[in-house]
Amino acid sequence: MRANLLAALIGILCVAGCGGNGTLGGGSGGGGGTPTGSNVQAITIDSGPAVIANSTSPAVNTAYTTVTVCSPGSTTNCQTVDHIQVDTGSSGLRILASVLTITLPLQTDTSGNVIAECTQFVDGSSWGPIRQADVKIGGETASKQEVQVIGDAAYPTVPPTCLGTPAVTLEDTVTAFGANGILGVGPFIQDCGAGCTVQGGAVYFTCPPSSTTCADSGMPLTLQVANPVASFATDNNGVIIQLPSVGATGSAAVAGYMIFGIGTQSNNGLGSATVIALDSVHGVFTTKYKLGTLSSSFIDSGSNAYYFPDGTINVCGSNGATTHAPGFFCPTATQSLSATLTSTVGSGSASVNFSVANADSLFSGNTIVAALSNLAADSTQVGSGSDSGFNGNTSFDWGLPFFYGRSVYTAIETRNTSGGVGPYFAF
Amino acid sequence: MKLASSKAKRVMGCLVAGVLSQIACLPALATLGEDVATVENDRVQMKAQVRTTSVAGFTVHVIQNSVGTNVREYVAASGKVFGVAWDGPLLPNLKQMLGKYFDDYNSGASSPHVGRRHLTVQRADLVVHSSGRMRAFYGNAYVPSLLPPNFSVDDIK
Repeated sequence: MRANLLAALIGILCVAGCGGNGTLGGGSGGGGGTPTGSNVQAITIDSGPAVIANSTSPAVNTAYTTVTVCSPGSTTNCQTVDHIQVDTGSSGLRILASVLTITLPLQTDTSGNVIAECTQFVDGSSWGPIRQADVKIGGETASKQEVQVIGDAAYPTVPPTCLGTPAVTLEDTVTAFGANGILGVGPFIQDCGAGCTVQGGAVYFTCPPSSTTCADSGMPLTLQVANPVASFATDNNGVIIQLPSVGATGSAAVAGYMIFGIGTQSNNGLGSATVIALDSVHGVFTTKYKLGTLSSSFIDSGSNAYYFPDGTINVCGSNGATTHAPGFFCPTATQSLSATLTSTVGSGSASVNFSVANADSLFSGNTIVAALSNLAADSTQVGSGSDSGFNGNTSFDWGLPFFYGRSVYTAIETRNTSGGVGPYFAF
Repeated sequence: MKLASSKAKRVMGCLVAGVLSQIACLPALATLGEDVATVENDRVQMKAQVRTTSVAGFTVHVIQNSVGTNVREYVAASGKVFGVAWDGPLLPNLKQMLGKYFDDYNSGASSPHVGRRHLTVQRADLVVHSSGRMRAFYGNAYVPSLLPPNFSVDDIK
């Protein structure tokens, strides 16, 4: 009763325009009414597909949804695939070949060569050809999309430059990938953009007909793997991810929503959310945290924690300590922190409060916790824009914990929305 | 890190006129842990342009490859490449850049670690920090035992 009263008071105060303040995010975002409509799709945060959920490392803070793919134009040659990761940090749909039971046609370039991709992640690469599919999510359809099929037996020969960039580690199984696929609903239309239109990046490859040996190739934007939301007939200017709050000790599972379009329906208005416009090349903004300014910051549902540099917080396993959570933060007491997110190309700015708990404590219980709102890790000293040295603490990655208790809007580049032209994040 | 006594240095016969200069001839470049005088593998591989910066005790070769990724190679006075760093839309070819240290890097990347957008490899003779996603990658790798005495990896923003 008392808590309800407090929530109601906060709600009233927020009418005056405190939309961007993270401490109040739960009031305006997830946990509200149940959105309905053809532009709504369920999201779950759980322990992952069976092979992962039943393993010694069940998924943590991984948002999954279900996607239906059909051979283009077909209503019968279709398959519905669950546990597809929802990722605002990439663009386009990728599915692991091992879960696909239907055959989709191969995508070719104008010369008839099959197109294949070596998708780059920091810890490995995912190799496979591009196939065509109608992609159906909720009540929306994106026709004839380029979809990467990872680990496709028809193209088993991984080019050497793919193996070398970034690592020999191939993420071509459900276990290695952490999902049955990934749905990139980021602020850009294509997955790679201009950098891949020229040869030499070891991302796009072409494979001559009747050969499975593929060569590094530039790829026009129109043939790159793209965010299917941008190809919907309606509600195609962005996506809202709405997740409920998660308590200090975590949850075994969380249910939320992905709502397509921004300001296109009665259920997807921007409300009082603060718009953080993104630079059009890297999709980043600035985070001011403690004394530092982190200029390559981003909001990423595909990251399972907050990642930021802070040498003052103890890292799990440091000094040889036994740990369940190597690399994550292990403060002796939960830290209550705040940071300010600011656009470098617009006027938007919002301060956010967040907590960092001891990851060892979070993981040490006997119950499975798939959703943790206070999980964070050190990203110390990555990146640099400087010639004089190779360190620079330039990034705050607002991972999935940021989404709990909020509605987070991702507006697609060049598209008009009720909050202005994308790309932007808003919350 | 102290940069106060910055001085232009001669690199492979190319006179560097300032702290940050376009230079007419191409210095040799090399792989992590190898000698700068060996080959210009990286430049050839990346079809790149090279810019050289000299500061006290070390030299930086700045290369931009054909897809727009910047690579910086840090060369000690001894001629050894002690560190590399990158930022850009795509990852550089780390196998070539890390050379004999690539296997160390790869076993680190294959070990259990946090997330897929951040990777730290911390070994006795190799440290790698790598972050980002397609369109915005950044990271660095260095060999602690090869760092020049006046070079602090923590100090630079």
